[in-house]
Amino acid sequence: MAMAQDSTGPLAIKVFREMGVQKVWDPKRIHLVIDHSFPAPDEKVANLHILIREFVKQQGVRLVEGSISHQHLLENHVVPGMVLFGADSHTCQAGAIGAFATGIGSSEMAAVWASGKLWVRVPESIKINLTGQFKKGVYARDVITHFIGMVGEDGGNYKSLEWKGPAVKNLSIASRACISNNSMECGCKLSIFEVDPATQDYFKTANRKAMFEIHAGPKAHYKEEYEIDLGTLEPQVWGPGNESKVRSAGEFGDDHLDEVFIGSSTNGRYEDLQVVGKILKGHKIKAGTRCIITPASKNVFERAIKDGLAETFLESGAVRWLLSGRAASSGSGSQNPSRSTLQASSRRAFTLGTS
Amino acid sequence: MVGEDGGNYKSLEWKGPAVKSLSISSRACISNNSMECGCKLSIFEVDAATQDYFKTANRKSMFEVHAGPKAHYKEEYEIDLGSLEPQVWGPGNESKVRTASEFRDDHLDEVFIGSSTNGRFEDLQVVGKILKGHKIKAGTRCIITPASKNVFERAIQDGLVETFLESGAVFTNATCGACVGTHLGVLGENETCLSTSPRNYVGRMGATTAKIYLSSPATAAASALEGHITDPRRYL
Repeated sequence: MAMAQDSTGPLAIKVFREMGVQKVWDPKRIHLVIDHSFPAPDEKVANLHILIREFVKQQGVRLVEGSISHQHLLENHVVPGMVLFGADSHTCQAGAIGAFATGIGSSEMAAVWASGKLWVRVPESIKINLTGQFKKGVYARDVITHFIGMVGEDGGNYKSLEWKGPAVKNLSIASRACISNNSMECGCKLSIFEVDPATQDYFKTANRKAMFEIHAGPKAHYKEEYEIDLGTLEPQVWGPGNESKVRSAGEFGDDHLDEVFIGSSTNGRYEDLQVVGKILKGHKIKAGTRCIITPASKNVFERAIKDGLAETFLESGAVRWLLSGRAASSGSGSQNPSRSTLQASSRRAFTLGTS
Repeated sequence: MVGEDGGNYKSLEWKGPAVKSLSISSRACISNNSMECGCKLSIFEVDAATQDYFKTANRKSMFEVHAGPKAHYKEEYEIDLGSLEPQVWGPGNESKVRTASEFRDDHLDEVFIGSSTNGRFEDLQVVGKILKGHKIKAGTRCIITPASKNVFERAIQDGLVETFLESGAVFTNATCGACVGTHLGVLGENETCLSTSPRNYVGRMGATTAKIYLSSPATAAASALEGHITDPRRYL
């Protein structure tokens, strides 16, 4: 399967056309997702969206507008054992349910559209053994932030991260997706969880079947091995700058926050919004701080409304950007923060522990 | 009828027996959009409906303005609401105002429902009634933007947002949105849009080559279902 979004898709379309190929290799396995800027924030982007829609019509490939690509694919199309290339670095999120999923560039994507093939060097593996149980207020996001703080921003370069150990079974698919997604920030090629009963349950409700399950064999060789005891973790915050700025939340208390952004493909899932609702309920957002909540998909958006979470957010004074997509996270919306800004859940720059 | 400069620096006074049946939302729509004929003011006298509105909003009027018995008017017009058909303002000047059924050829790339002219709860209720159980036409995007946080919250509480989403429409936070061409649905080259916003001059919502038609929320909602300009009465 192949995916491109509205930032990378237009260049891939241009390259595809320059290659002189008439038809894509398999329209059913090609997804274009308009998620970075939706609805169009300016005329230039509006024209790129037109280009994408024309290509979709011409080639008969799939199009979704308004859900984040990774979340849309996870909810609807990815299966264990699948090979997924996405023209977006966080494609590795699909490793949460045992897919071989990784990000590629726009021109490579054009080649994939044309041939359905891509050369990939087999990555070496890093094993992370998860043990123990979370303390109150600690989440999957803290695991991955802690891990990146430990290995550094290039500590996983071109490696396949394998998340294993007795604590994995307690992690929901949403939590695994958070970890797989954010793993990209240490440079990994893949970030994989083995299929287990939680994966199977997820598939049953999504009415899909696995292609095959990937499990590490008994003689699996790992280049490096780490262990994280979830029970020792505190809520983690990644400060502005590199991985050396990862500290516990208690150590960052001084800066006033102009903006808190809760969303993105890392942490815009329903499970995340539930925790946010629990915390915001009956409280008010601090005057002078704006809180923007953006669900990761239309599905999350609808559930948040039906469940009364949206009302809780509004009562607290949070601005609910009632769209999915990645406006604030990728700086591509039209309400870009202009002053010092902290982001609560997106992957890069300044990251707080989940929710 | 009067043209884009037909009300230049005038005060429009809306009177007559039909006014009492217009909600404050409907009056706000008229007063808001009056600007497009150049008026300075566009006023409704205080009546029982205004009083009710104030009671719930917990405000007190400073004083009431009523036209005296000897009021002098520069011009007078009469509109029989019963003779009106759903109206559409085509791209270009006021000479392009026609009934909805006279414009049906263009494919609509976007339908925008919102703005200070027609983003009120009353408007969204009509839209919900029309969209319920139907799907937005493939190839047409329908963007619904409430006019205030209050409208936004009521639309969620009332289940309207669920109806919108089920139909395939996009529901955004409360803002001017696509009306001003600055975000949330800017038009690209040669796109065609039907909008409930007040203005459709060249380049208002994005590309200068885009065409903008204006209508009521009902006409806009019905048109989103059909993918071209449609008289809403078949859905009501």
